[in-house]
Amino acid sequence: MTYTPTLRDKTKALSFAADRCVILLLPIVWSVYAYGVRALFITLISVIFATAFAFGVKAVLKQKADLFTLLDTAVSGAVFAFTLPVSVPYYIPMLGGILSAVPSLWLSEGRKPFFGGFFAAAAVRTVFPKLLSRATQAFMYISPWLFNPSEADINSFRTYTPLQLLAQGKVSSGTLWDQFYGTVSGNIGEISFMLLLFGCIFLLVRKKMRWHAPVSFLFVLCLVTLIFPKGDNEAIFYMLVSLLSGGAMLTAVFAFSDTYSMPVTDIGKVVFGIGCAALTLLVRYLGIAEEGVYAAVVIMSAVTPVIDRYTLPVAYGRTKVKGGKK
Amino acid sequence: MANSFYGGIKINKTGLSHGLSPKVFTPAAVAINVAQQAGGDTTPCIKEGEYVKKGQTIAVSERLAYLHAPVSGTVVRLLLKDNSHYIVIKSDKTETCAPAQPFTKPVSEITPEEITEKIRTMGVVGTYSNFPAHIKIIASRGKAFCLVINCVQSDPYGSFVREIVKEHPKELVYGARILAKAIGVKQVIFALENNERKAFSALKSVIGEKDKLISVVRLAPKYPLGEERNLLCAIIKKEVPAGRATHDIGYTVFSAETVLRVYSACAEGVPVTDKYLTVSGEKCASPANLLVPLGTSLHAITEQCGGVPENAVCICGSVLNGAPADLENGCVTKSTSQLVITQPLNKKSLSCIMCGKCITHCPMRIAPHTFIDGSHRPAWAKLCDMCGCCEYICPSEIKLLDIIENRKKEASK
Repeated sequence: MTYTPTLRDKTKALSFAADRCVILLLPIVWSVYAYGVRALFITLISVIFATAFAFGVKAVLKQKADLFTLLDTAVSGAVFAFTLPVSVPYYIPMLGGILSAVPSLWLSEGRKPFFGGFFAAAAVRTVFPKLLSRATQAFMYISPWLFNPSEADINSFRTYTPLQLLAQGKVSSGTLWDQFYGTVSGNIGEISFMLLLFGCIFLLVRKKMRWHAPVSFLFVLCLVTLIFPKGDNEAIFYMLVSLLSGGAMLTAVFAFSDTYSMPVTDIGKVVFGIGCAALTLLVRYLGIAEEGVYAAVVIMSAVTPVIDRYTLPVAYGRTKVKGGKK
Repeated sequence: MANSFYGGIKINKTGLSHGLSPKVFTPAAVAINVAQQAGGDTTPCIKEGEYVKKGQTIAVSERLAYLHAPVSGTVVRLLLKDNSHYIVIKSDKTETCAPAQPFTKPVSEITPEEITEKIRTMGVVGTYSNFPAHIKIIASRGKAFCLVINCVQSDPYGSFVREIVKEHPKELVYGARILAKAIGVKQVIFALENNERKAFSALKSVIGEKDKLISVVRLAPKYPLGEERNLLCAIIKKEVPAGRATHDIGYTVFSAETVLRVYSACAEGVPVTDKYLTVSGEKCASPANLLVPLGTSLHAITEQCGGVPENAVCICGSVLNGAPADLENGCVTKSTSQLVITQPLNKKSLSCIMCGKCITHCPMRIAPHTFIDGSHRPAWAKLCDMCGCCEYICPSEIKLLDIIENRKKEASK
């Protein structure tokens, strides 16, 4: 017997990728406002290299090109660019764009081991830690035509991001509202907490993401930083800076809306979120780098099959066997 | 959430045939499947060429429910070969009825055993399962303390059940009392969807305020609420343990139509000769609720409702998990409850994107996506009741029902 369903939900697989593409636009527009055309160039280079690489490999393997892969690699490439400071030389988004498309090559088999954007971010950060920590002030524009801005080019507006200051145990100047709106220095896609929050709400309302992973991740992040403040910061201030600056919200929006590299059940998503928060905090408290969220997500994606196996749902009627034997 | 169960899907009801009172439809000939009951075959007790009256017993069995002639006329053929066990009767259009056989004693003196035997000889079977009602009664006797009357039709197109409740509340309540006596329960619950105001007030007006036996509950409409395990979950927040029947936790579920049949069998002595069904769908020219004699060919019914257009398909059963109807040979049985004429969706399915929607919508709380690569737990294949929620919700349009069906076959080998 073959079943013939004639009624289906209107949500299609493609709209998962398309909705993530839509919410990319807000941080891109903001990055151009805060950092000038150079930020747009970095994003575009990363996206173009990511999609070109993915489709180049598809052409070599004689696979059919599809829109889902295009949108998915575009998101990966753009999110990688979001994790860069504006002062990076252009070869970083080229390299990272290609790396970010690598996990998407498995899409033809129906899986994707990592979220490409963070996979590339973690890899590139390991290789070029110094280049990726050269923060510059917002609204001080670096020429988009400089391929490799030298120290001299950016020296006059070098600064530290709030998260870097936090890692050194210092208090950042400027109000928390600056960090909320995104008028402080930081990585190009991460500075505006507000716009990323809009994106998160958009995905939640459109049911393209479950709330479990972002909520558990942000909750644990906030709770631990509130209990154990570092340096001479007040606890509440330390917590809010950890939350508002850096890649926490970028993770909540883009990494946690990537359905492939996450556990599939709700409980698994909570475990995933807590695990990401724990690893991030481990790096932030004890590691040498100030930002550990990219590596944390990649590591948790690697253990996702294990989480999936142990968080399968308890089926109907399996919970109350004793009570049923009356 | 109050008055609901885990998972399921909310579908905005299209309401094509809602509010239409069931029409009687008389075909020229009927073909009754002798082997239609779940659990075995019945033996015809008539000969070819014999004249039968409407309601006359035409097939008997020692254990199972009897079959009765749905129309009056001549038995044209007895087909009892390999796969076709049919009695074909040509109608003489007179509707001459066989004499009714009600109880001769007053109701208070009838024993539960007599009621059960009456139900069997009058051919009452389950509306959806085709499982003989008397077997269920005997099985739940002594175990169940509560009888749940399922007046829920959660399928987006189905609507005949609420019409039955609206039009025959008295008969339903009377039937419920008879059934309660037969099983020996102390409580009867009518389960309704909470958007059925007319049906609710109709029932309430018959039951009265101070009835200690019968009560009415209203539940949030959600597919597949009509399935008995989900219904119990929604009413009493208890789950039926795996591999057990509902009467093991003290509840037994009968559908509204079955209760109506119990009423006609016991109070009026009229056997089951016809079936309520809904004909509906996007491509259906004139959706209707019909009361058709058993054995009417499905083709005749669809013709009555405007026929099946060329690019459409006729689904027998729920629109979410039904299979295409066999229009050429198919006939109405005691469990045919819905025909949907609608557009087929033959899109190519994509690969699973691991969104997890099937898990959050599965009322049985299994993980349907694990069936795709075969990494599911073996017990899950048995548990799945093919409601079709996972396939409806799947954004990649994966044919999960087909996959699960194949996995079930593999497991039973």
